[in-house]
Amino acid sequence: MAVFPAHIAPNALLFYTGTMFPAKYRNGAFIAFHGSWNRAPEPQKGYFVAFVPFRNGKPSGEWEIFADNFAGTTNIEAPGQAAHRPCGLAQGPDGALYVADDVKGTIYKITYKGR
Amino acid sequence: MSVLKYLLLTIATPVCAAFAQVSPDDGSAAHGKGVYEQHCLACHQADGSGAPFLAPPLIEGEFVNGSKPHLINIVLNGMEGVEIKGELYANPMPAFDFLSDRDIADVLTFIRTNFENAGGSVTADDVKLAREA
Repeated sequence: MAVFPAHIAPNALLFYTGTMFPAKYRNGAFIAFHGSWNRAPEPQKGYFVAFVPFRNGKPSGEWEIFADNFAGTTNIEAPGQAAHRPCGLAQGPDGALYVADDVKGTIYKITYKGR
Repeated sequence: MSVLKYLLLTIATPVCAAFAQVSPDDGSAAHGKGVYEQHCLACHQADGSGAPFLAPPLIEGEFVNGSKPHLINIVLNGMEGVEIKGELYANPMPAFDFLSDRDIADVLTFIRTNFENAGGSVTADDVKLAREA
């Protein structure tokens, strides 16, 4: 089981099968959080891509924020203030991770080159 | 429980925001602001900008500044699937006919005189007339 804050709106789930990223990401789950619109009176939250490590088909550790700051600002009072919001995930044949945004239609490509 | 099941539960979690109770003895703008914070803000947001694709913005609103009976009827009857400035907003807005005439008049006065609107005030009599029509 993996537990997330309320209302942060998971929009896409992708199990990573590539070999470009370090071994810890293999078979783990990336989740695109679109970000909240209904957390008032709390500030809005989310607008990031999270990662949940998996081992033998089950979550094997705490989830973590993998990519953040899509919103472009930290204190989001209303969802319209977010510059970008993650909504889709895809894995390229080379193991790159693609993140789609539905505010402006931006596609982000995340790669890893090792040490 | 699988991650997927938990995600579904998270999505289904109902809105449960608590706001301060509104005093009926305030002036109408202040009272309207309180009604807004309690009943409208969760969807239409503190700055009136709404929620993209879900709840329409109230800023420079055509309906907000337009006909009073039309605007009052949106609050009394709710609304669903409205297109505003080329964008479709899909979340249903429930009917707020349980609010008093004064609550509705004051909250509409609040939104018509804020969020870059200049529609002017709405009175409790305006609401009473619309309710009886």
